[in-house]
Amino acid sequence: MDTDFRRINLPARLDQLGACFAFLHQGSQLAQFGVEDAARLDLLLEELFMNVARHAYPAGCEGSVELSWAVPKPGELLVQISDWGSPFNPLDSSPPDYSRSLADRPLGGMGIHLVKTLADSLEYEWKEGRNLLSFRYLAARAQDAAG
Amino acid sequence: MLEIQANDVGKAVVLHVAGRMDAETSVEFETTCEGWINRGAKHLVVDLADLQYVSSMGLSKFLSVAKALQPKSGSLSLCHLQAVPRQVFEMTRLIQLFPVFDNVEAALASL
Repeated sequence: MDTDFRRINLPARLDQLGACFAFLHQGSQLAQFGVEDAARLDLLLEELFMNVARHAYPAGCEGSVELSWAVPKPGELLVQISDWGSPFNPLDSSPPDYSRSLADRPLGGMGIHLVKTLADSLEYEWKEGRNLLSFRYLAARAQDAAG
Repeated sequence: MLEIQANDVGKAVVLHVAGRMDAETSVEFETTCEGWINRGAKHLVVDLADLQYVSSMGLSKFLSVAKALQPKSGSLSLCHLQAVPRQVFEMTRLIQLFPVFDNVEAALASL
């Protein structure tokens, strides 16, 4: 295992979500993730990819997103997602208001909360003209072993 | 891929949802539910035993359908919520906003 990143560049569009998953699954398999860890990892990627697809670029302007992953050791995956939109840190959003009733609960705002909950470490930076968000995901078994 | 099988049992429509509800596929769930609501269904019971994945977009569809049913004194019940989908509902506290049952029979008995 090594920390060399494998990269892919995709249009930041909803119809590329399947391609994102396919690329990430290569990393999940190499990291020897089980079904549930792979699903949680997919969730992390979807939330961040869709954030870029929906918000990073002006309407009518097709931008791109770069995904990359590396497997430092079994059970661990490092993932980076970057775009060339305006500077924006998706981690700055406020947590959802859990006290709201069904009628008052907004439809959005849950994605970034899921990202913050599922990722083991999360870092944003604006670097060389692009938004770069990095996270580390540690499989459940590896977390238990680490204590 | 998302597969939905619907069964009108009189007091409710039971929807068996299998596969993944992501930003691409979750629209189908909302559209299916809206169709049943437009045909007069008040109670939807969703069997999630074979749901492997749900993202925030999927959650928003569950919320949207439940909100549509509430003014009609209807309900959207969740059954066999398990594994990663259950964790997602729990992490977002959405599990507190829905009637949740171990199985379809219990959900139907509550109506």
